[in-house]
Formats: sequence, C-alpha cells, structure tokens
Amino acid sequence: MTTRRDFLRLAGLTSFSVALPSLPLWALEGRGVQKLTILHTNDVHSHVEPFQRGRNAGLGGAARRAALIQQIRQEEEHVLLLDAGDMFQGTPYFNFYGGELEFKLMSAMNYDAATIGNHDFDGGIDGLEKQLVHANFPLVISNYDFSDTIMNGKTQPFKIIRKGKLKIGIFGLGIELDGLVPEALYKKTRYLDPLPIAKQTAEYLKQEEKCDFVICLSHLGYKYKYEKVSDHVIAEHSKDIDLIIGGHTHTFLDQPTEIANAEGQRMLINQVGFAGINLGRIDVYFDQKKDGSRFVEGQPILVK
Amino acid sequence: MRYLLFVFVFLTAACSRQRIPSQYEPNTTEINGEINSKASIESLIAPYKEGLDAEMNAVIGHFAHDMYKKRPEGELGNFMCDAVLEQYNRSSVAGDAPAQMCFMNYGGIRVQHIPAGDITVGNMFQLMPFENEVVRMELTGEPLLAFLEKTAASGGWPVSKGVEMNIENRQLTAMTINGQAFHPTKTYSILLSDYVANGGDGMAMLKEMPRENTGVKVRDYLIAYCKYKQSIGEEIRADVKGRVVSDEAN
Repeated sequence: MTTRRDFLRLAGLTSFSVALPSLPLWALEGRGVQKLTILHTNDVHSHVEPFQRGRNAGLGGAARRAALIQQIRQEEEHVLLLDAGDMFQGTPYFNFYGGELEFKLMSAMNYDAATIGNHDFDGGIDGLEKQLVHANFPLVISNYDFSDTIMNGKTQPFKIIRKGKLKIGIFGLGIELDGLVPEALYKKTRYLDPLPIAKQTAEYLKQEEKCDFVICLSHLGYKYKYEKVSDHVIAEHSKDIDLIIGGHTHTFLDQPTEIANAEGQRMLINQVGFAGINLGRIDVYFDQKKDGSRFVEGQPILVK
Repeated sequence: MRYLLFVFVFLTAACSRQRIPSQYEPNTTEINGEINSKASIESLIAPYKEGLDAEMNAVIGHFAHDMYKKRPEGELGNFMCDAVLEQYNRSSVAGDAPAQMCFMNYGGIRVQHIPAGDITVGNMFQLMPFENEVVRMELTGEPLLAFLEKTAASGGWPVSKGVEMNIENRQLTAMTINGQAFHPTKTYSILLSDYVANGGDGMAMLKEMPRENTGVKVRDYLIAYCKYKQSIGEEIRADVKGRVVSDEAN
C-alpha cells in the first residue's frame, strides 16, 4: 500500500528522505504496485493478410495479431489495446468493402479505442460513418469538430477506462485535413489546432478526473524537419500527457522515445511502423511515490 | 486508538493519491510466421477474401500485345497515360476543359511486365497499388519547362499519345504535341498524379502551382478505360512508337 518514503514523510521525517538515495527498482515489487499492459497499432492500412511480396513479405496479418493479443490477455490482468488511426486504405479489402472488415477485426480483437487518421476519410466521411455499426470500440478525437457533418455525436473527445485500481484517460488528436484529404471527402469537418486542445484535455483528465495515466492517441506524425505540429511538439509543450501513441509517419521505433514535457518530466512517445507488421507493447508499473522515479526503463516487476 | 487513527489517515491519503508511472518495459513484437493465426479471425476473413479474389480475377479487357516497363518509353507507361487521358476527357469531370497530355512518373509503374491476353482488376492493382488521385494542372513558362526538363534529366517519363519528346544528353531538345511545336509560353492542360503534383519524384516546382482535383484515382481511370474498351469490343494497344526518344535508348 505504501513505501518507506511515504512512511517517512507521513511520520514527519521527510528531512530524512533527503539523505535517502533514489530507491532501487526492486523496491517497487510488492503490494501497491499496479501493472498496465498497453498494446497498440497504427497505420494498419487495411492489411488484413500478411504481405505476400516485397521487403515485408511474410510479415503482418490480422489473424496472427489476434492470436498474440489473446495470448497476452491470458498472461496479463490489465490490458489496453489501442490504435492511432489510418485503419483504412492500402489493400483491396478497403476498396471493395469500405472498411467493414477492418472494423469487424478490431472489434473481434476487443480494441478499447482508436483515433481517426486522414486515410480513414478515404471512403468519404459518409463511408466512415457507415462502417461505425461494425465497430464496438469508440473513435476518440478531440480536435475535429464534426458538428456540421454526419459524424456529429458519433465520436468522443476522450474515454476514461478503469483497469484494476488504475484510472486511464485516453484522448485523440487528428492531423490537418486540408491539403491532405480532398474536401469532398471530409466535407464540413473542422480541424482545430491540436496543441491547445491537447493541453486542455490532458489537464482535465489528469487534474480534474484524477486519471493516473493519460494517453494521447495521435495521428499528427512523429516529428518534422520543418515547423509543423507533431508528437514531439505536443510532448514538449504540454504537461499532463504520460504517453503518446503516434501514427501517420509510419515511424518504426525500436523502443519508445523518452522525452521531457513542458515541466521537464519524462514521458514517452511510441509508434510501431505500419500495416500491422508490429504489435506495440509497453508494460507500465505504477506506484504512489510522489517524488519517486518516473518512467525508468527496467526489467519486469513481479506484481503481488 | 491513536495508532488506528494514524493508520486510517495513512490509508486514506495513500488511496486517494494518483499513481505515478514509475517504470516501464517496452516489448514491441514483430508479427511474423512464428505466430500461429487465430482460427476464429481467419474464419471472419474467409468470406471477404473469397469475394475479393473473385473481384480481383474479374476480366476487364484484353491486351493485344505484351506490355513492359521500359525507358525512355515502354508499353505499360504508354497504356497508363493513354488510359488516364482518354478516360478523363471522356468523363464529365473534364467538362469543357479537356486535358492535352498526361505524364506518369516512371517509378510509379509497379510491375515490369503484363503479358498479352486477358487482364484483370488484380492486374491494375499490381500496376498501380497506390491510391493516388489524378489532378489537372495548367502549366506554362518556367515551371512547365522545369518539369519537362526534369523528366528528360531522369531518362524520360511515360507520356500520352500525340506527344513526342526528343532527349539528348538527358536534356529536352525537341517536343511536339499532336504535330504542333511545343511553345513554353503557351499554357498546356496536363494530367498528373497528385503524388507528382505534390512535388514527388523531384517535381518540387509543381508543389505550389494551382491544380484541379478530379477526385478519381489513377487506378480507377485505368480500370474504367479497360472496361470501356471491352464494352466496345476493342483490344488495348500501347505500342512503343517514338513518343520519347533518347540518345541513350535501351
């Protein structure tokens, strides 16, 4: 339930803690530690089957991804499964079935939430809306204003999920559509500047809803050489996001990028390529030490 | 009693406090052949796959001769440009603004060879797997010349019927359009894929130029063209006949 440092503080002995070295990782083991397994994909682009040719031959495939997810769900108690957009477009499955199978597969795998990528408009905003009936997970997007479109009321800016003792806030950010998607497809969707919305939404989730963990599902792109809002920009200019799961730039990260937020606190950005070639996974361990370590990469912890 | 109160305060404080993500362990996994497929998911996919295979194998036309990807000119490039130009000009999108020529980027041709005979929807997906849309640009002067010179510098790009370009030393030395001499001061109506119009394949000079989106994918024009030819009982030809001639030919 607590740690030695908490005990000392509550006992009015905080001055002692100055003398304490930072706690070794093994100190996390035991009661009170919560583990959350976050699984994620991005830019799956209708890759239902494994690649048959080319440099990615033999990789990917929804049926394999589902088997791996099932295995992890059997091993781990608290699992989140998320997608950062561009679920549609890229194989004839989308051209012929309009995204129906993609949503059915994600539903069968029990995705908890997904955000919307630019290519998810490729069948038109009406085409996207038509497929919602096949999705049993919410589309979270906080910076698209759908008021004057058929999607009005059919997405949500964020979703709060409880796993064990953890309260997790998940919100979504979409990329500017003008110049990227023909207007005829996105129609009256209004793109709003993602940075102020990200700050507000994350602050609400962390400070008011008291979420233990705030995840941003972003389709903005990892990082740009020129001035353009990206996951890095959101990370560096906000303070209440713990993890950005990104997409759009098809960036293959071997492991999450550790980055300092606006207050100098460590947070993570991750992205796992495209086409379902990888299943992203980050196991996060939580405790209640206010001044303890934050996002230290380490070995698995036995959670009792 | 004092001890119990202490424990109570202690627990309340601990429980109401937000937890901190103190440690993480990354563990991204490649999805490859070592992972067995989940049977129920395969069953979910199966009927879609069957339907798709049937669609992809549908015959939509007939190639009169073998078609290859070649430089400075090849049958597959000729076919793509002719199909897009003809089909665009036949469509209502063109209205009273028909296009005069179509260029495709050489790298955008994704198969080396399609043999003479029946062709399928699947062939068109292999030839053009990308989702690029056709755009129309009216080009003149410096950007037009820069664009044409760039195609010459790269060894020639596929172009539609009626255009003849001569390349020497990777420079454009002569050009006619339907027998008329090319004048860089005239304005030409040109079809391109949005990939090229967005500056792809070294065509940065086009990036800021005005364009008209068709909303139609390159591949959809190819399929529509084949089906049209089939409907009027015509085989498709796209012979190499000197559209692009280069001193380094072959």
